[in-house]
Amino acid sequence: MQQIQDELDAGYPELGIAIVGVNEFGFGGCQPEQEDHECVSNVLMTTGRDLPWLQDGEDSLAWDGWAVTYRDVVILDSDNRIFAVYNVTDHNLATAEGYEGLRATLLAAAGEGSAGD
Amino acid sequence: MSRVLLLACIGMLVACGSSGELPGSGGEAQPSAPGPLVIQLGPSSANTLDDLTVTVVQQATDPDGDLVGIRTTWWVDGVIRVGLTDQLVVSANDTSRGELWEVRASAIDSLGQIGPETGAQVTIQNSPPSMPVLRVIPEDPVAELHPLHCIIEEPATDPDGDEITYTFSWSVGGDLYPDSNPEVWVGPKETDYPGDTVPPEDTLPEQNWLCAARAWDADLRGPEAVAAVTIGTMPVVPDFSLPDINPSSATFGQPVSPRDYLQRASGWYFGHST
Repeated sequence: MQQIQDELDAGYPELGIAIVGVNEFGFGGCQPEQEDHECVSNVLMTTGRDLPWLQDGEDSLAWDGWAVTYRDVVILDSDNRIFAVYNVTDHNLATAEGYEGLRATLLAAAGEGSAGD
Repeated sequence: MSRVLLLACIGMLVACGSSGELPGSGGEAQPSAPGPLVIQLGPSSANTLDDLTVTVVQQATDPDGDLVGIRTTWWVDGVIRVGLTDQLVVSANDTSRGELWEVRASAIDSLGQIGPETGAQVTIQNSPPSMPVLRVIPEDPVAELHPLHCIIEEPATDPDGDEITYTFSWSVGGDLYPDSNPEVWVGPKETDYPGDTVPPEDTLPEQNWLCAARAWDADLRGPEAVAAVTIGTMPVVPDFSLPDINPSSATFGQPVSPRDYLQRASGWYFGHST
């Protein structure tokens, strides 16, 4: 995910495409008295990455509001309408096909080419 | 007035009735039967949805002036229907396609004198199927995402029990689909019936689509039913605001919302490390 962001920033800086992660509520791996960013699971997810990593909360429940499933990437167009939902369990980013599929879909949502090009 | 009756009237100098019957005479004068009726049986091209009705085109004459009604008998393919005797109307429920219905009618007077019989007949024709009730699903389709499926919500019925088939057609903004732009459109497709589905590739936001369908029996088509739907766009996702907990991120410690990324595309990964 970080690699795709870096590629988009380098190749299409004018598009300003952003990738943001949202951690499911209750999956921070936190011990008592720990701040969210200190929790083991969050540390694992953020080490070596500069993408925003948001912590869903008991009150906000972004996961429920968007009705997502684990490892969905919800791709929004410039009006914040859903352009596509790309699940990275179904499309493994470790494969060239999965990686290119997500990258192309993000570009298509920004009006640059179309998904699958 | 007969000669005997005339003589009796003169001789007795008593009033004679207008019928010429002599009181106490033992009814020597015979009452006269009514004359013939002229009738019609309609409608002339009746089908299984029509009641059959006898209409008196010309009333019978009666020499005695005491007509009281009409006697009818009904015959179907030459066999009398006893239960319908003296009815002037036969319900459509009693008729079937292809039957030859005949009514025979006579005038009757108050003494039960029945006039000559006259008849009329009609053959029951095929009836078309009724109009089905349609609906297009989904009710709030999103352009280029949802196919439009025109479903038969309430099927048509055929009064004759004939097997029914359906035909579908579509229009968009008043233009016939796909005939008005066959090189661009890829549909229609078949889900339950040929042509009942418009694929998502053929839809655009704010289009008004109209599905029309008819039921057919082997020979006749029923009335056209229609259902409409307007194409929408994907709704804006619900907004939220969550803290960024990545110390390496430019927005660490700040609330981040989808609305912060309006005017550009964004990807939101929902996951966790465990």
